[in-house]
Amino acid sequence: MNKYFIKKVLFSILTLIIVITLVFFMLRAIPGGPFTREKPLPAATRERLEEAYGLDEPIFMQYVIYMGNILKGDLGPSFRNPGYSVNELLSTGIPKTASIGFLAILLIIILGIPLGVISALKSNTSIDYGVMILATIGITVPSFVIGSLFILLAQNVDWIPVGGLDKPVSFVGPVIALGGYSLAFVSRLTRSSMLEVLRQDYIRTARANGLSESKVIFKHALKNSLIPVITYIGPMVAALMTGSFVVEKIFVINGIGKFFTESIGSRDYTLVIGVTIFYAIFYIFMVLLVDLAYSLIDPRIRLSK
Amino acid sequence: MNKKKFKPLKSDQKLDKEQIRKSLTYWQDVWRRLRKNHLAILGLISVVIILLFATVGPIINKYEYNKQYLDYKNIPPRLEVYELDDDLRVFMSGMYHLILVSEKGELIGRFSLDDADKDLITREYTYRFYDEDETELYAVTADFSYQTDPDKADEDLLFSLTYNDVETKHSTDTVWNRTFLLGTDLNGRDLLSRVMYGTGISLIIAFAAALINLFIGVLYGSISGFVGKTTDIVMMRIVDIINSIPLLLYVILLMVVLEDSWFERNVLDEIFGEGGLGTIIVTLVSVYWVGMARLVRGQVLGLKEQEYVLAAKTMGVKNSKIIQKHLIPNALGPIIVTLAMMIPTAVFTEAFLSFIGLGISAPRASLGSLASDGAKFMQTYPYQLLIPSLTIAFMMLAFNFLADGLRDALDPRLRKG
Repeated sequence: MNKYFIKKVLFSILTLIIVITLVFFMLRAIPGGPFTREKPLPAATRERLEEAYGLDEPIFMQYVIYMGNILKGDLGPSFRNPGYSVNELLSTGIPKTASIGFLAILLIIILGIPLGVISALKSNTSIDYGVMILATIGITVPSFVIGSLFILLAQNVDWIPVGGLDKPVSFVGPVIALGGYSLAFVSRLTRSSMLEVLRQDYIRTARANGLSESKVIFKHALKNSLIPVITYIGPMVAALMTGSFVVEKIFVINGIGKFFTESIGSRDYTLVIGVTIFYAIFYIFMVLLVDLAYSLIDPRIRLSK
Repeated sequence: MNKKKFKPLKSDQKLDKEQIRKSLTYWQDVWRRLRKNHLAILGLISVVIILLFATVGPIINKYEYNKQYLDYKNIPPRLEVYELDDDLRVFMSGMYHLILVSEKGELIGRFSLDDADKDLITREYTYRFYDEDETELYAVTADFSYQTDPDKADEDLLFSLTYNDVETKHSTDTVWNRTFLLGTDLNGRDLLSRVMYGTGISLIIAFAAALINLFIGVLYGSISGFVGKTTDIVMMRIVDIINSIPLLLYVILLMVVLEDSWFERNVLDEIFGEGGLGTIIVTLVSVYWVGMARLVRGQVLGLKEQEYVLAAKTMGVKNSKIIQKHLIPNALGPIIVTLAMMIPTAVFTEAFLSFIGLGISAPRASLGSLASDGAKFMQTYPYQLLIPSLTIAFMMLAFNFLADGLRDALDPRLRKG
């Protein structure tokens, strides 16, 4: 078990290094650099700038220097936001993005899983159909449409702000737009896996032994039916916490999703890699966590490893 | 027992416990199960409708997707008509163009507005309508002072129209737009033909991505699963690494790298035409084949232990033949299901990319880029966002229903509730 996790962690670190390397060289392969403007800068200025940011070194040296800095936790200065380091920019963006993401995840877990369970327990009733119709709509309508419609609605109502994150109410729109799809998906997934589990022999045995219905459902059925849900929720948490680019664009939020799209456009190399690293670390960490959660829930997996 | 209560059977009344049933092939059986699933059939019919909409639609529709009717910009599908006279019905567009409308809702022509007819002090503009011989037929005066004049402010009007000294303040009727059924966009292009065209482009992207993905994924996965050992480990580590790069990040980076590159200009644009269609397909394929490869590998790993594979091996059948003849056909069910799920996913991702400005570029359009264009002016012209969005939603729904049904039909063990 321990050996398994050490192996996993080592592999995650390797993946991270590969991701950083890939992004580093991919960005350099794009035509145009951070100091390419419509009106070209004077050659001397440009050289000075490139020297200041270390861009005059051979590309391999740049890579070595950059990797060394990352080990120290320094993501370097932002090329296009003079005076700001990437660490500073990230630390302003992450709280906004993460707070929306956190609320969306909360919504999904508090609402999505119970809805799925209820609709599985009441399968083929009007409650079940109602939940499933809602879930199907959630899956088929893209987040940018939900977001746009919400803004359209907000404009006609005074107490919902259209953009930004100034008031608690202004979180409603971004959270719904961000979490809508996953909320629908989780409730569908919970329902189907719950139905699957309820058909198993050990549930019949538990009932035959005279266990109370609540014990059958919560102790025996729910625990097992959550396995596929956890598989989905792991990467989902990473994706939601790092924010959807579209949602931040629609609701005018200065989170890291917006940083990312903008920095790619302006070739702000260090900022792009900074966001990528943050995202990748988070993602890989969540996948590890899912593995751990698996073995806690399912003894079969624990034993086989 | 009273024997008289029993009668002997006639010779043609055969009592046979073994009822003769037609034996069904795998695909007949699949079709039988699929047919019973109403939602799946609904999905299938909807998919056919979407396909017809995208292929036959543009032939029937008389407007082209890129033709601009500059007189008719931003005309909605539902018109608020002012009836000023018995045969004079007009519509004021959101851009303050005055348009002559027939009783049925056909657009006849646009009133012209000379600078000399604009009274900037009283804010009364006189729109004039000329026939082919340049003779003036109607002159309608629009009073825009309701917004600026404090005396008139409480009437809450944008304008009033005056014809023959009779002032009309409110629209008298609403009719459907008969000329452009779904209205026009910012540049006066027919929205119906743009949605048809966009659906086609979205479908091309989805199908191309799904098919190439199928090819790469099946090849990669079956080799990895069949050869096993070190090859399998190395190939699957590569898949793991690709899998742990956040998908969207990768897609965006790839789109930016490919944009305007030599590869795009000389290879992709040659095959798919300009506007970034090929780039999107390449991007989607390079991300999504991973899932397919994993699935096929898993299937092959299980199947290759079967006796018939052993039998084929002992008879000296070549490995490539075993993969082709035995392994892939038996793994076909889950492959088809993944493929069917892949199509709506690709449509969704494409729409998303177009929405953040990395997708198809004008004058070509996909559903995503149409929605993205519409979202910019959604306050004034909500129909331009709603129509493409509803089309996306309908498409997603149709393909999802069909894919769900296919999954249940192809492999009843996977049935989800």
